[in-house]
Amino acid sequence: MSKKNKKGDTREVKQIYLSEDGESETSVTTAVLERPDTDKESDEKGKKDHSVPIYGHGADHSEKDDMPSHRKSRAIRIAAVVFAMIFSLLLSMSVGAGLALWDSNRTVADLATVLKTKEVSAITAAKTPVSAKNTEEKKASSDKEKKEEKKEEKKTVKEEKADYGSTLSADKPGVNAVSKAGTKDEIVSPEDEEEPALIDPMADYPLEFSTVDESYFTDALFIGDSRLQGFGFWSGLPATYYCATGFQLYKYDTANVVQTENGKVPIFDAMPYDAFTKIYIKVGLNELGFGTEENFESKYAELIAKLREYEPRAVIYVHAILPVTAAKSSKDKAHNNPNITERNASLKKFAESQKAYFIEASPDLSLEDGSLKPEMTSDGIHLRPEDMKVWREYLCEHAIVIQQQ
Amino acid sequence: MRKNMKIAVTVIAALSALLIGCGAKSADFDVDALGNDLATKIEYADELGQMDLDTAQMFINLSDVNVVKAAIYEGSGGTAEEIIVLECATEDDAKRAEEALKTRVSEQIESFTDYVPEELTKLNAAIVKSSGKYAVLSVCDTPDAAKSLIDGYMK
Repeated sequence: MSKKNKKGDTREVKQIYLSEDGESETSVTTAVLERPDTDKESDEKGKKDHSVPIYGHGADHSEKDDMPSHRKSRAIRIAAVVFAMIFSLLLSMSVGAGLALWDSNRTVADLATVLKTKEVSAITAAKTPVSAKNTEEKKASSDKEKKEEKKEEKKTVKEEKADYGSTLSADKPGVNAVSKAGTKDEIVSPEDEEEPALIDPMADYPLEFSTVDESYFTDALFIGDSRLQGFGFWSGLPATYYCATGFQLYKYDTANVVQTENGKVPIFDAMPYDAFTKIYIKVGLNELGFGTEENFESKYAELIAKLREYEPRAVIYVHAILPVTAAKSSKDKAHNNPNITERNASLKKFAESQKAYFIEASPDLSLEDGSLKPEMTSDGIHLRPEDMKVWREYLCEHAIVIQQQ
Repeated sequence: MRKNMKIAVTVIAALSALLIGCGAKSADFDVDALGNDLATKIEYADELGQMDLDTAQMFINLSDVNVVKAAIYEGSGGTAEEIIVLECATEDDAKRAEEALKTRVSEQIESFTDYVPEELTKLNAAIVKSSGKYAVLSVCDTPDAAKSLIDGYMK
């Protein structure tokens, strides 16, 4: 429809109606351009003829000059839809934020962290108050510092000694190597102090057993199988444990036993130099049924010799194989009490030949027939956690004390 | 037009519900509660005892994980049964913890293959999962029951 703004001009207005029967009907009317304010009769005529009022240049911009109603309603609907979408988006983010804040332990910084992980909250994160951002940054740096401190704390004397030992073990460790390691918290590098004479732990062999308290074990190393591992878990003795399920003497140099930050490694990959003054070795049950007694003792001697290279001040304990229950013993052709008793007898002689100290199994663990008390085990072999104290007490009562300089 | 409006409102409502669902994070829970449930509501062949985190790090490498709280149950050594539930500082920590738990299972499989092969059934069905800042490991004879308990806490 073209616009004409001269009074008196006419144009045809075609209107299409949809009748009740669904057929379209076309009606053509003639509209006359008018100046409504100046021609009232024309207004009335226009109304009677259903003329479409036409907006023309120069006409008076009265209420009749507003946007057509159909356009207005459409605009309103569009605006309503857009508003509803924005509101829904804000509502969902608010609910999520509210849930995050529901826990009173949460801070605004935590909220910012939570929101930051969600895609839809990219906008909100950008609008995070500066104070919250600062708090978040402070918390992040504080967490980082705490983590660094924790790592430093975890770097125990053992690891420090490993660092120290790694520089020395490349050379042959000898009696002139010096390190005071009375407790886990003490270590002195050779450059720091004079070199005291090394005390040979076998010099006055054999010494009598003494009773000690748990502090004796702070520089003790336990090497062995799953039963000794269980002792490490549940006894509470503050020692170092290189133990593993299924550990076998024949594989002592290759089995990945020791947990480090780089994963599990063999014993001597983790062993520090001159860090321990007592080493307990408990193996033998898993080896029953494998090899010969000679092979077993040959490998055992090899292990002890290597341990003495690394730990020249250490007293070596050869721990007896603990018995199994009578029920277990009767069903197992290899891991039974007669074989255990026989192997222990050989181990006692072997220990003497190595100038090591043989530790018997605590008599409080076994019945009169020498079998393991059934109430102390869940599978006939491994001690229950609460019964480790019996074993622990026995070790405390059978300790070799050598005065170290 | 009214029909279009109805469709638009329906779509907006659905979208809002979806965004609300995404915006809500996994609910916090007490690791001790899940650990206790796993320890008491499931039968084990071994007798499990509760262990502290420091001791547990004798056999699991969590050196690069910031653990806030832990519930750990271990056996006497004759079985591979264990429960480890960790609350970590962040989701990234939880993901690293999950990897450490998977490594634990692999190492146990290696250990028990020659030691007690019967335990491999449990290890091969071990549940290792992380959600939010939580990570969990469960090795038992009834993994379905364990999974059901875990899912009740970790969405």
